[in-house]
Amino acid sequence: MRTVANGFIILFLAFMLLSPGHAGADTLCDCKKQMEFAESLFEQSDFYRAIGEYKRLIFLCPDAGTLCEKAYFKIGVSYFRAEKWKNAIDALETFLVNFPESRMVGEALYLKGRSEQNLSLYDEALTSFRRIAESETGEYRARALYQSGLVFMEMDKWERAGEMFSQVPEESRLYDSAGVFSTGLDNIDNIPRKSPAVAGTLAAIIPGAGHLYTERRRDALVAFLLNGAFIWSAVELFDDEKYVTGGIVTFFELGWYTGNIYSAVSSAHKFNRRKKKDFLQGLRDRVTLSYLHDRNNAGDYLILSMKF
Amino acid sequence: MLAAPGASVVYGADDPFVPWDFGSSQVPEERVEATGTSDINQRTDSLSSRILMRGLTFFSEYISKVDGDRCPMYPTCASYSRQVIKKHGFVIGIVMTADRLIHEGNETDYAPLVRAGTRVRYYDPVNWNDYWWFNQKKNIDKQ
Repeated sequence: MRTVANGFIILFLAFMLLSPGHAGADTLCDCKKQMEFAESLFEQSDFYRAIGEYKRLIFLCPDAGTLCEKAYFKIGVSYFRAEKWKNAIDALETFLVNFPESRMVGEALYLKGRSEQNLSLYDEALTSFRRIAESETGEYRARALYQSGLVFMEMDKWERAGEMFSQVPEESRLYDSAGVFSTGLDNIDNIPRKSPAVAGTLAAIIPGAGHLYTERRRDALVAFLLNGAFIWSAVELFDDEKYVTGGIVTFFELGWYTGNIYSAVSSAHKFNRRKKKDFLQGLRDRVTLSYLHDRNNAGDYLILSMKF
Repeated sequence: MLAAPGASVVYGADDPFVPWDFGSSQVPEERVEATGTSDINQRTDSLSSRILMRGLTFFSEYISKVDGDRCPMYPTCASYSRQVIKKHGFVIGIVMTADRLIHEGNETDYAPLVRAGTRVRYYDPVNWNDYWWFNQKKNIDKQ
C-alpha cells in the first residue's frame, strides 16, 4: 500500500515539475499582476514606489515583451511627472536605446525634450524635438514644432521662435495658440527697456542716479548716502592733513563708488530681463499647455487652455 | 517675515517626495549647484583674496554672532562676498560685494523667498548678479 502511495506522490511531483504550460501561465499572470500594481501606484501619483515596481517587473520578467517595454517607458514618465528631470532624461534615453522601434518613441522623445528644456539644456531639447518633427507626422509633429518655438523663446531667439510657431499646421489643435505667440512676438520690441550704459553713466556722475533711472529708489538713496558720506569724510580728512586715514577712507569709497556703478548697470539688466520675463509669462498665461494622465481611461493627454 | 509682493517660497516642506529628498538641503537643487563651488573658478590664491577671505570668516565667526543676524538675503552678505571672491577674485569681489550691500533695499521686492535653516530669506545668489557678463556654462566647460 505504501509503495502505491509513494508512486502517486512521485507521479504528482513529476507532473507539477514537468508541466511548463502551467508554470508559464503563472509567470505571465504574475508579470501582469506586477504591472497592475505598478500602474496603480502610478495612478496614485506615488511615482517613487511605482518606479521601484516597474524595475521589479523588468527584473522578474525580462522576457515579458510589451510589458517590459511599457515598464521602461513608464519609469521615464514617472520621473517626468515627479519633475526629476535628470532622471527622466536618463530613463527615457534608456528606453529609446532599448526600444527604437516602439510606438512610444515619439512620446518618449517629447518628454525627454521637455525635461531637457526644464534643465535649460536648450540644444539637447531642440535636438529631441527635431527628431520628432522629422520622424513623426500629425499632432506629434505639431507639438514638437510648438515646443521648439517655446524653447527658442526661452533662448531669446524671437525670429526662430516665430518660424517654429508659423510651421504649426492649420489642422493642429495648437494652431491658434501658436498664432497667439507669433502675434505676441511681433510686439517684443515694444517692451519697456532701460539702457545699462545710461544707468552706468548716471551712476558715475551722481551716485544713486543710475538706480533712480532703473526705478530702484531705496537703492538710489543708499548709494547716494554711502558715497556722499565717504567722499565727505575723505575730503575732510585730507583737509585736516590726516592722509593715512583719508587714504583708508578713499580706498573704501572706491569700493562703494565702483559698486554703485556696477549695481546701476546690473539693475538695468535686471529691469530688462524682468520686463521681458513678464511679457513672455503674459503670453504663456494666455496659452497654457499642460500634461494630464487620465486614471479612468488610462490615457495621457495634453490640455490646451486659452484666455480670450 | 512677510513676503514681498509677487515673491513666493521656492521650496516648501510639503514636498511629497520624502524618500528622494530626505536629508537634502532646503534650497532647490539647481540653485545649490549654482551657488556652490563646483561652477566657479578658484581665484582665491592671491594674497589679497586670502586676507579678505580671512577677514570675512573672522566677521562671520566673531563679529556677526555678537552684532546679530541682520542680512535678509540668502546667501548672507558675508557668505555672498566669500563666494564672489572665490569666483571672480579680489577686485571684482569687492565691487560685487558693494553692489550686494547697495541693492539689498529694492531686491526684496523681486527676490523669491527660501528657507535657510530656521529663517526665511530672500534668494539672491552670485549668478543672478553676474549673469549679464559672466558666461556660466562656458566657464564650466573650460574647467
